[in-house]
Amino acid sequence: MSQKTLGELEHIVLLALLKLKSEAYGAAIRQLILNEVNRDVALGALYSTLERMQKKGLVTSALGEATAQRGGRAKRFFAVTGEGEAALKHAKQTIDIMWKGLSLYTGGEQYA
Amino acid sequence: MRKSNTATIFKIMVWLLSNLANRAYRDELIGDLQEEYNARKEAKANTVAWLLHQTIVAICDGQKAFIKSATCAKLIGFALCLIGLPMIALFVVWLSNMGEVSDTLWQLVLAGEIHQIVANTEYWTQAWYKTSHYLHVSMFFNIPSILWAVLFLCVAIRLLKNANTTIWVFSIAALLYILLPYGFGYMLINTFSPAAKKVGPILAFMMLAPFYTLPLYVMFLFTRFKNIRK
Repeated sequence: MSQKTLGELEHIVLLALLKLKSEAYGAAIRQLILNEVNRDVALGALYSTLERMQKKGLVTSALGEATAQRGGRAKRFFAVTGEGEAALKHAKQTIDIMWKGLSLYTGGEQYA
Repeated sequence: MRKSNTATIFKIMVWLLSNLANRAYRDELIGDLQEEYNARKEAKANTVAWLLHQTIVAICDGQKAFIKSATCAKLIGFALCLIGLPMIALFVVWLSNMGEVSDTLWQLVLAGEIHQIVANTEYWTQAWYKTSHYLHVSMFFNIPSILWAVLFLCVAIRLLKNANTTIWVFSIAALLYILLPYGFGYMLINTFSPAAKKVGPILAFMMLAPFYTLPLYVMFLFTRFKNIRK
């Protein structure tokens, strides 16, 4: 089976799902990405990414219970699948390999 | 006053999203939006611009998904039938009963430029009159077109046997097949410039082949892709 590659947003979203564990639903994922990497992802774009990843088998989803705070609408919780974890591992390995032996000076800081 | 304005805007956005956002996750998205909207209201953050941005992105995404959906392909097929079949019927009746026409229209007929003929006002006046006076079923009988439609049936059945054939692949293949007689006839007339008497049957094939195959294509759309909406 060929290794699935990840886009940048897919990569970020998968990591957010791992961080949020059982609390990974739309608004929480959006908020975490905004707080951690200062990236304001619209809910529409986020759900579209999640749907695409679900089709690729990288994530699964399940509906939670409806709450009054959400106008009687249920949350959809997402979780990373084994294939999603493998794709993340592969992406990290690729980046690590490409960074090996490199150091970059930007804004007085060194990245290696 | 301002608070109630924001609440009204929110209701409008929810209504828009309920109708135009991606059907696959519409409810969850609106729920998330409501949750964040409440939090922003409490924090006194800018809500209107944020709401507008969220709604526009979600609607664009929803419409993008709709354009790719089976429902959209079915709607296009149905609309093509609704517009195309009466237009073809009108043209066939006009062609079968063509009397005195202006030189411009006659030249267009000889050149097989049907797409230009239907843009001509003289054609529409005549076609409307002829259809109401001289309509007859036999005008629609054309053996090459019937054979073309039978061949379409065979090709479509074979294509649909393949499980990987999506509704869009089928639609593009079918529409190309349907348009082929028009392109072929147009090319034939413009390459060989046949005598006026021979142009008529070519024009009939150019129009009647799509007339027979278009409904077959729509039939396949609604029967073979019956339960597919995405």
